Amino acid sequence: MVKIRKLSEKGHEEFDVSKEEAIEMFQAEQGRYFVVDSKTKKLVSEVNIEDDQELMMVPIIRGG
Amino acid sequence: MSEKEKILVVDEKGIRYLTTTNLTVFQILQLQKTLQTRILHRKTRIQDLAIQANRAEKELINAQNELQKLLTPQVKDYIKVELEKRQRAFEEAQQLLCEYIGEEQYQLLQSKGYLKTTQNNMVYKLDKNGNLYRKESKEYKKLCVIRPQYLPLPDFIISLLTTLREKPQTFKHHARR
Repeated sequence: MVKIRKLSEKGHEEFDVSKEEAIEMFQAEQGRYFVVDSKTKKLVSEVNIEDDQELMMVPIIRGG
Repeated sequence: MSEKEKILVVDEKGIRYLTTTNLTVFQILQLQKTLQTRILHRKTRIQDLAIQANRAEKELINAQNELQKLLTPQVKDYIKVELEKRQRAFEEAQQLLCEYIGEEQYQLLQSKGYLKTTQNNMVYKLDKNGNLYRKESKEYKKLCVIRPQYLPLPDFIISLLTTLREKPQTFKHHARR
């Protein structure tokens, strides 16, 4: 299982999902969110997702 | 040709000459036309005003009813719950920001009011209100950043710092004053 904390308009949403579901979630929000490892604070790519990993979905901010 | 006649009048309003004019047939016909047009215009205007008054009255009743609905205990409870939720979300976001940037940086942001970071050899300053600046020839210039309204400020700061770290080229333009 992968633990995801998503910073969204609903506040901090937390999901416990399988690796495949996590990848689906990230793909659905591609371009809108960064996926960051909660511990290392580094960006995570879909291929590197591991079981029991804690991830954060951080909104991508736009500039003018 | 119309004929003019002067009459001296003495009454409670004063003493004056009144000039009366006999109208020609052409003038009578002209006056008839003018009066008919004026009557038509006035009737139309009265109808328009009546429609407007009717509409305004309906809007007034509607606004009064809506306000009545918004003053019910049910709405007051809803507002209270939502504000509490927002406060909890803010506190949660604040805690996450502290974990995300580390206790030391968080305290610095609180005490100094800003954080400095370097990306691609450029120095950036992020203040505690979420404003982003870039150092350009010894001076910090404010950058244009679009803040999503739904994000609590600490979550926005996390997002801004992450975007700055991962895609610094996003922030190219200066903010308009």
